[in-house]
Order: sequence, then C-alpha cells, then structure tokens
Amino acid sequence: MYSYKQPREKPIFDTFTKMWLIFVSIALIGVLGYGFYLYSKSSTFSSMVEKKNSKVKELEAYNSSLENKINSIEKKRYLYKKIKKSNNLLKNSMKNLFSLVPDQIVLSKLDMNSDRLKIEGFTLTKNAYKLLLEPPLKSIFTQSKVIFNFDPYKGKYKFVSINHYKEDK
Amino acid sequence: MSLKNENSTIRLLIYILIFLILILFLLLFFIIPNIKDYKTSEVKLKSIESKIEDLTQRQKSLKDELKREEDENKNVLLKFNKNFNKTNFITFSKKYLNDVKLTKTKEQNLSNYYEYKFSAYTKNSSPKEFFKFIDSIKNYENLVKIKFPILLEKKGKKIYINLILDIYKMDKN
Repeated sequence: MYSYKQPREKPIFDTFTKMWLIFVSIALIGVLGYGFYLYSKSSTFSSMVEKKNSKVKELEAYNSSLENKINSIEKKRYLYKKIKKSNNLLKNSMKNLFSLVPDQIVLSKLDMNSDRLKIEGFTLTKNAYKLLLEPPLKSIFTQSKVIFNFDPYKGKYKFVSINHYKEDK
Repeated sequence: MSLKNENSTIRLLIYILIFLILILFLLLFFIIPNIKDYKTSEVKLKSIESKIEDLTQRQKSLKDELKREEDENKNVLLKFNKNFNKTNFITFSKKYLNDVKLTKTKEQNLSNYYEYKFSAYTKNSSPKEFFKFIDSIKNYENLVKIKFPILLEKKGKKIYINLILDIYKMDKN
C-alpha cells in the first residue's frame, strides 16, 4: 500500500487544549504559589510567636522580680515606721507615767508590760497616793489595786500598786 | 460544520468546568485554610507584640518606681543591709547609759530578728538619759525595737533598766 499523501502529524492535544492546559497550569501555579506563600508566612509568624513568647516569659519574670523588690522596700519602710512609732509610744507612755507622780511620792520600781503595770514606791501618807496617783491610774487601767506597808525606818508607807488593762470584748 | 462547532462549545464548557472545579478544590482545601492560618498567626503575632510593648512599658515604670523607692528609703534600706555588731551597739548605748549588758535570748532562725535582753544603769537618778537613748535608737545603724517587759528599778542613786530588744537581721536578698 502506498499513499501519495504525506502522513500528517496528529498531536495528542490540539492547539485549543494546549492553550487551555497552559492557562490552567499558569493559574494552578499562581494559586499554589499564593498558597505556599501564605503557608510560609504563617510558619514564619508561628516561629516568631514562639520566640516572642519566650521573651514575654522573660519580661514577666523580670517585672515580677522588680515588683517583689518594690514590695520588699515598702514592707521595710512600713516596718521601720511601725517600730519607730512603737518605740516613741513606749517612751511617751513612760514619760507620762513619770509626770503623773507627784512630789510626795517616790518611785522605787516600775515593771511595765503590755497590759500590766506594777509600781513600787514610798509615800508619806496613804492619802497622798489615793488622792494624787490613784485617780489617774484608775482612769488609764481597768483594774488598780494597792497594798501599803509602813516602813518604820523611813517613816513612810511602802506601796505596791498593780494595775491591769483589759480591753472590752 | 455546525456539529463541529457544537463539539467545540461542549469541550470549552467542559474545560471551563474542570478549571472551575480545580480552582474551587484548591480554594477550599488549600487556600482558605492557609488564609485562616495566616490570619490567626498574624493576630497572635500582633497580640504578642502589643503584650511585649506593654510589658516593656511596665518594666520601665517599675524600674523608675524602684529607683524612686530606693532613693526615698535609702536610710531605711541601709538598716537592713548591715550585720548587727554587738560591740557597736554597746558603745552606742554607753553614750547614754552605764554598765550596758546585751545577751541574746535564743537563736531564732525563722524570724527576721534577734531577741536580746538588755540591761543597763542610768548615769544619774533621772531617767532623762534613758529617754534620750530611746529617741536616738531610731538613728542607729540597725533597726531596733524596744519591747515589754520593761523594768526600771532604783538602785542607790541610779536606775537599773532591764528590757527586751528585737534587732532586725540583715536582709539576705
């Protein structure tokens, strides 16, 4: 068999299909490229988030250490003021106590506690104590008791006054 | 001829449909999830960046506050940064009182102070110097608290003093 016609190459895809395939490929590459770009961006963001998270932890720890230091200073200042006030109060209460004692009475011993005061001393007369020292003591303390003993050598009464302070419940 | 045209139209429609299906498939299963991930991670990044900004600002203000507190309370802080020296305290007390004795009552590891028993005599029959001693204790290099019980007893021409002192320990921080 012999043909006078030259054999015509018949492509698998015709021109239209080729164009379509090229167009689809370009579109697919574009879409896929955009997708991968988004994927790489979000991966970069995620790794940045991880790094920044560790920075956040560092900053939080440092800030918390600064806060602790500030709190510690505030506590120290508060303690200092409290102690200064307490020492001052103690001194003033002793000074006030001495100022209550009239000239007729001589103190020989003072035993102070937070809720109790024991005073020992000498008075010329019981009345001097009862009129001059007992009233102010009774106004400060809730209970005030006194015992007198006459000292014949000194010619004075030795007294022991025990005073209690009880807070009302 | 018209049949060939019709075939071409159908083929074109099929190609368009395949293209649309492909694009739709990619959009649904690749692009949209990636956009969501991108948006989420972008939001996370922005929020963490603003958090860092806030924390940095807070750090700055805390540093300023700490510096201000340290400057304002310099003298108070110094009291917590010095070890207690018994000899120094006795020397200091002797400016106002005589025969000063200081004894540690017990070792207290848990509390932040040492408890001492303090005893001394006034230099004369007046308690004035004792009051001066209490006044000046606030200027001593350590923080000292005077505690009850306090005993004042006349012995000869002097007053014997016995009391408890809490002396605060050096800050270990």
